[in-house]
Amino acid sequence: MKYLLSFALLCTLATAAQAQDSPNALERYFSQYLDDERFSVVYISPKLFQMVDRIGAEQLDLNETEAQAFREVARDLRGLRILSTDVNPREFYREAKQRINTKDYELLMTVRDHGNDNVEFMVRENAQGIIEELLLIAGGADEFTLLSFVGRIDLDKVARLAREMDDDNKEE
Amino acid sequence: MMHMDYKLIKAMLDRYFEGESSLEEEAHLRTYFGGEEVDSRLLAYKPLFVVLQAEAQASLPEAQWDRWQPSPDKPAARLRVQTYHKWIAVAASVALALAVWRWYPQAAPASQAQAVAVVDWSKYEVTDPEEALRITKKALGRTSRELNRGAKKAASEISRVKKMAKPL
Repeated sequence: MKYLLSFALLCTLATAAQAQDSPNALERYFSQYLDDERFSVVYISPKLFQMVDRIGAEQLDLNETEAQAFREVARDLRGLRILSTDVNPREFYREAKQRINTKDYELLMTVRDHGNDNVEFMVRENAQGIIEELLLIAGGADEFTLLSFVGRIDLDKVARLAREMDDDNKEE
Repeated sequence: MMHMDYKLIKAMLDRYFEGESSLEEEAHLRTYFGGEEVDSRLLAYKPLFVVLQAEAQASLPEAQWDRWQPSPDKPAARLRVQTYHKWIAVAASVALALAVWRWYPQAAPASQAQAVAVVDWSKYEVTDPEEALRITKKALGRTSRELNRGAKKAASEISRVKKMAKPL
């Protein structure tokens, strides 16, 4: 009986340790700065993403195709978390890159300019190869930002949205 | 004390070191070297046989001997079996725990995305839908802009993004 109990305890410990691990590596990183006055923290719950289909283009201040691309991406999201600060941005950028577990997150893309923000895109996939989280870590001279999109992320849709948004920048 | 002449002992020694001596011969040798009258030519072998003799006579002290004997109030043999059982149980627990630990992440990946255990995010939630929408749009806009910036910087890298996106 004693051994049965100790086995149950071991199991609980093992699962608890596991639960604290991969998906919440970022949580732990976040939690360090949540009460830090220098940081601003924003969380958008699944509720918003559920009602995104009912939001019109004019409300988004986008044209119809842009709004469509936007809804395509937002519909599949289950959460958005933002952490940002304008204090020591480069330092926090460096720290975030070190702290975020490269075992769970795969580097998708790095954008680096002289005198501009350094940006890294990272993704976390589940066992089925579906991207569950898209992470954007940006650090420049003025600001450090960490964006975490959680949900079912289709990079094709994100790329389509990026193309739609890009047409604006070209000012055609 | 039995006296044996040098030749006989030497022959026995030779057989002993060849591993061909009989038990009786070995007993003779131990007795001979244990005795006082050892031939000076054979003195070099004396310490070996003295040790062997001591080993042969060694036995458990009385108190210890008693402990290893099964008795009604002290079932020594059963005690040992129980010890094994205990370790098997511990090993099994560890093995099962490891198995659960290995299996768990594959079993519950779907719930991981929603798992918000460490932080109470509701504290930071933007409840005003318009504000939330504005922030989401800004965040996605930023993401798009950075993706485009990266795309322009290196066309090869965007092809990598597409390649990664394809199997989905």
